Amino acid sequence: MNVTEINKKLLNIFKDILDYPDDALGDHMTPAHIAEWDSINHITLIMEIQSEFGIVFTTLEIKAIKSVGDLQDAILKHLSISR
Amino acid sequence: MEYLKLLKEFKTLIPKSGNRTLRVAILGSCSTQHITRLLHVLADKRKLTLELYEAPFDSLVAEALDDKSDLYQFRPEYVVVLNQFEAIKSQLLAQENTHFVKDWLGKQEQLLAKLIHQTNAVVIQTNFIAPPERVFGNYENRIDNSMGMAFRDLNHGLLEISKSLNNVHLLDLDFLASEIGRRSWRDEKLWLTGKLPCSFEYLPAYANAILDIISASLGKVIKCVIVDLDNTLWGGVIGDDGLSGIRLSEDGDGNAFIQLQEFLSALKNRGILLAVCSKNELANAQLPFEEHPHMKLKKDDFAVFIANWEDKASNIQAIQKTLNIGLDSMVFLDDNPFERNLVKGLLPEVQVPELPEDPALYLRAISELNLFEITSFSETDLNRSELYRIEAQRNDLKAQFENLDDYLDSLQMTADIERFNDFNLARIVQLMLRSNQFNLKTNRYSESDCISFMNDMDCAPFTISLCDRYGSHGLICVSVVKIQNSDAIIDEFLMSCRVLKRGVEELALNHIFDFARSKNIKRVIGLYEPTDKNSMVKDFYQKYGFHLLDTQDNATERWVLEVSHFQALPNHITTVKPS
Repeated sequence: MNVTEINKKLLNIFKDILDYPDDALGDHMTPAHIAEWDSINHITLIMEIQSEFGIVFTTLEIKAIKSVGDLQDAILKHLSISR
Repeated sequence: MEYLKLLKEFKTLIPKSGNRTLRVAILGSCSTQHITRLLHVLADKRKLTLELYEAPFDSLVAEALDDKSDLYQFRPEYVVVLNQFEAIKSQLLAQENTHFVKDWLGKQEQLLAKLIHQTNAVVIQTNFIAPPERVFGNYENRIDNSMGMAFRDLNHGLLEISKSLNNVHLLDLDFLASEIGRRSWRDEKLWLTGKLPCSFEYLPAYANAILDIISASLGKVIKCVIVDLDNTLWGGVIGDDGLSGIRLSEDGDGNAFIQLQEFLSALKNRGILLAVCSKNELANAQLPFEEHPHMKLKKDDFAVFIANWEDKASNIQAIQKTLNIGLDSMVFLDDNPFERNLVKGLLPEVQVPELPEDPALYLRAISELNLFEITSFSETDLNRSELYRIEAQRNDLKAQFENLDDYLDSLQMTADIERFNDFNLARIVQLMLRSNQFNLKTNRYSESDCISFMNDMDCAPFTISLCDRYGSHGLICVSVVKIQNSDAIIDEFLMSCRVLKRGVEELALNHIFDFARSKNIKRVIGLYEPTDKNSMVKDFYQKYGFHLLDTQDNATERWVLEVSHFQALPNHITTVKPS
């Protein structure tokens, strides 16, 4: 899986869980930019990403993830892929 | 994942229009938001629409003690309290355990008592799930002050609270989590990051466990289990394999059938009716019950025994007619997918568990569905099978008489009319929940409602118990008559269908008008509210000379009869003073 594929998959999860309307995610995006991205849906989002990518985040990582960029970094790290 | 599937359904959920609406408040020492989304979706599948109030995290104390709290403003019919062991663990470890346990339970009981007093709601609270860590290993339970013991004492105390407070039901979460496997159930990371009570995978099971109790408290309970015979109650086909060829034994899969029979026998002893529905020659079908040494169930254990070559849906309808209970209170067990699908398709209200191919897994498959949930239990339940068998005898006698009056006379009926009291309360509440057909108002009053009627001397809440020469029917009629604006209002009137047309209706009306007269009341108003199931009583008041006064809120008909126009109705029942 390359970075583009990961981003595409991530976008689909955002559409699915958060009803995200646009066709691209920005690294800088945080819960402040996406209406449905509240603390409840954040947990659901994390769970779905874990299951879709077949990875398991640590508690520290889950707490540290605050933006789309953080998510991408964490996924890349677990899949041992560099940007 | 089932959770995500349900979550998607939640986003587009439009509750079914015929649903019953319930006001449910949910409080927890864990996050409740994930569960409440599932509750909405899963409730809709049970024809319920929930209006939910979610209290802030761990706010039972604040909500219960403040008379003006949002919880009280919401006026809940149900309050669900989710107790999470992780939330109290630190406090527990910080002090002498025995003191903490006593204080915590005392406080919990006080809060719930206050909450019930304030709202009259039905409370459902969970117990705790055993923590995994054990400082003393297996020795833990021998140490009074260990966390393991504190857990046990807390769960025992929670059980005691549900026994001592009316209207508190215990959700045995420790059982559910243990069945599933606590290591799978628990998700430490979700607890630490979002205070979630368990892993995502089991949130639906948690939500369903809550709804199981709510449904049962609404009277949606199983009353009858209908079983197939070949490859369901025994291995093999009796018609082909013969008595010595069917499998029923100490070991191997023959023992799985014995275990199922033992479970059915225990259900029967609890008061669930059993019925046979088998494609067989009757003589073949009955042979094992009469002659096989390993059969646990006998023919007498079954209220109805049907073995023929008709289709099973028709036979189940015949069973339904004989027993006079709703299809939605029946479970059908059959190893054959064809028969299961036929019944599911033609009688969708009947519960039809998918039985696995291997009979070793029958009991597991049935148990996973938690079909036999109840929220009250009384002596009458134990005797139910007996009652139905005696009823069959009565019907035999009925056939011999030319006219109904002769027959009723010959029954030598006696009745006890009693005001609601502590001894008949459990049965009253149960009858209020279960009666659907002869039920004029279907109020479904709770135990605490009944207690308040009991203590109100301007209210005549009474019951009728009936006996005849064949035995006792037990408590079979409940009515609540209230005085409002100098009228006597028949606010609740229901009767078990077992005793229709024996004169109990007349006896009850005589009693109501006697009460009205004793209070110098000029007119009696009977209320009738139509439901899906009570059309048999739609003309009830008209039949006894009442006139339709008006229909309130498009639902409740008010029927009126002047006390001076009422003449005592003849019947064949002798009233006796309660012993």
